Amino acid sequence: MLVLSIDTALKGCAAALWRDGETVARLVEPMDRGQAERLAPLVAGVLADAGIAPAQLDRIAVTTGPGAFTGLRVGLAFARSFGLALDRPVLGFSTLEVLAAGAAAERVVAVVAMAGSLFAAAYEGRRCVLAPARIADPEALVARLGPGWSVTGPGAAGLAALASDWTLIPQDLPEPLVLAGLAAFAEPDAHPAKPLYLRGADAKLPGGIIPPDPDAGAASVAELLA
Amino acid sequence: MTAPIPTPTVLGIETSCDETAVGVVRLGADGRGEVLASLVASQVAAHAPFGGVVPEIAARAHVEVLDGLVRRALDEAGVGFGGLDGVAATAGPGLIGGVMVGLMAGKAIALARGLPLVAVNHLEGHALSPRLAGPVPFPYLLLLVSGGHSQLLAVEGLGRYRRLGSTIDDALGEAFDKSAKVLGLPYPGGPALEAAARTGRADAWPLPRPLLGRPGADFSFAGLKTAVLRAAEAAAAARGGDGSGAGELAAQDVADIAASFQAAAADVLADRTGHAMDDALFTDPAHRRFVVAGGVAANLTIRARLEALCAARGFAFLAPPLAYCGDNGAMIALAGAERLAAGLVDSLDAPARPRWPLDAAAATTAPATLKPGRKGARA
Repeated sequence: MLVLSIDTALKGCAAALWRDGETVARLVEPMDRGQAERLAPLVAGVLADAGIAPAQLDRIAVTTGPGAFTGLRVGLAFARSFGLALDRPVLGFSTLEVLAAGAAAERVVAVVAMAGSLFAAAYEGRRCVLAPARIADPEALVARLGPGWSVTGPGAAGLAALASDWTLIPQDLPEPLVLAGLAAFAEPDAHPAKPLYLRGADAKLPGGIIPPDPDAGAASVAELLA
Repeated sequence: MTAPIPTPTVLGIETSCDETAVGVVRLGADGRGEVLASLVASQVAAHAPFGGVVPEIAARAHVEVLDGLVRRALDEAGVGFGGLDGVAATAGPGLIGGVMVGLMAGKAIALARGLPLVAVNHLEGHALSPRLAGPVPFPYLLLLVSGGHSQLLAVEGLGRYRRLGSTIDDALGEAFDKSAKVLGLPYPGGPALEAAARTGRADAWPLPRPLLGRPGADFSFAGLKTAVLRAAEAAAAARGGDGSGAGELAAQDVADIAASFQAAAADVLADRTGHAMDDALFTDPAHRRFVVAGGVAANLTIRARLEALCAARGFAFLAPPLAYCGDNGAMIALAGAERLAAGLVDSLDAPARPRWPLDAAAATTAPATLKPGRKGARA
């Protein structure tokens, strides 16, 4: 199976080609902004490097967030239309799941700190014990999960500092080859390429009223791990 | 430049504001754009509670619906991806988050299918939109009036636009929407205000005609908008209210103020357009063609007034069909098709541009009172 993977949700722009566990091509560029300009040439670059035509691809994989709103839409809009034009499935995975898988640890908390928000998810092996969420109280998260965790992702150092024995696994960006590997073995219908904002649009109704929005609030750990 | 494609079939994507729109157009040998499909997924309901377009909500809606709309437009056109000669997407000016969604979709389709990409200026789409109805030769005088833009341009050829006038403050469509809001009319305000005006007296309120009779062809609508607010307050006070809200207005007050506003806007447009018609380009009777485009061009009172002006000045009056006055994908597909026919394409690193004046040279000589913003003229 030949998979093209794409990530623009955090502070980077990445594309990779993966075939049955082998790296075919990989380009990763750190950047705060500018993914809209770089992504298409980067994808063209990995295809050209490998001498692969788009029609040879079996699947497209993309990160869905949490991350920068604009950045994650750049990747999702591109991946969805790329898949549409090739009639290939497009699978979405959260940045947190890809970071966790990239850490290769048994018990791992993946973290993304972005624009004043902290997003986290926790996994024991392949099992998700805390689904991706915006965390209101990081101290409570650390206390509730207890000892013996690894922590990874942009913002992991801040969370590791709150815990006495957590192991920091430095990782700033989701690894596109890990993303491709996840997509190769997943069921497309279970992984729709839909944005995972985990945060509202920050719009106010007339009179300064904040509308009800299921994505708007940060959740307390007690609710999440009840 | 690349090899010209004489009669291309092009997919057009438009996401610069609050409409997700996709069109498929085939450019005929006679220069007419044949619309094979034109679909618009409006976000009006999503923005209505906020009384205006919220950029982040718009961008979220675009990414949810765009690929499905592309699929449906191609089905309706009876054209598969293999039947396309190119892909065009609006690259600006507009709300940047939404523009990026459409532009990335366009780049993806272009790369996946090995098609040329055209990064279209949204305003060029409007400028060429009357050619969706039939051949319209260059040059012509263009009045572009929408929620984001009010300008008069001499359209001398594809990619050759000379600004004769533009607004020094608000766009006319913006003045329509804000006046409608003051009058308690639903969002979007333009059509609601036009409907309310039908039963009103246009001479009921003496509203100002900013810049009327002054030299040049620039517009100003901020003062007119404020005068509508004052008129609404006065009408409410006359009915014994404290002027605190549109709820105190009688239906007849709303109708009268709406009709008076529309008359003032039409007077200003006719006056300013008349000045633009004085440009030397139009001393040749063969050049006397006038085109009105943009969402406000759907207003029938304004259309009628401009038609009368054209009749008096010896100009042919042309307007896109009503379906192509507002934002749509067909006009973007047509602009892309005309560019491909001229051998003009863009590369995959084409940027999304929040600001992109159609006439790069004239933007720097925009009216002195224009507040261009830190990064130069918006459009």
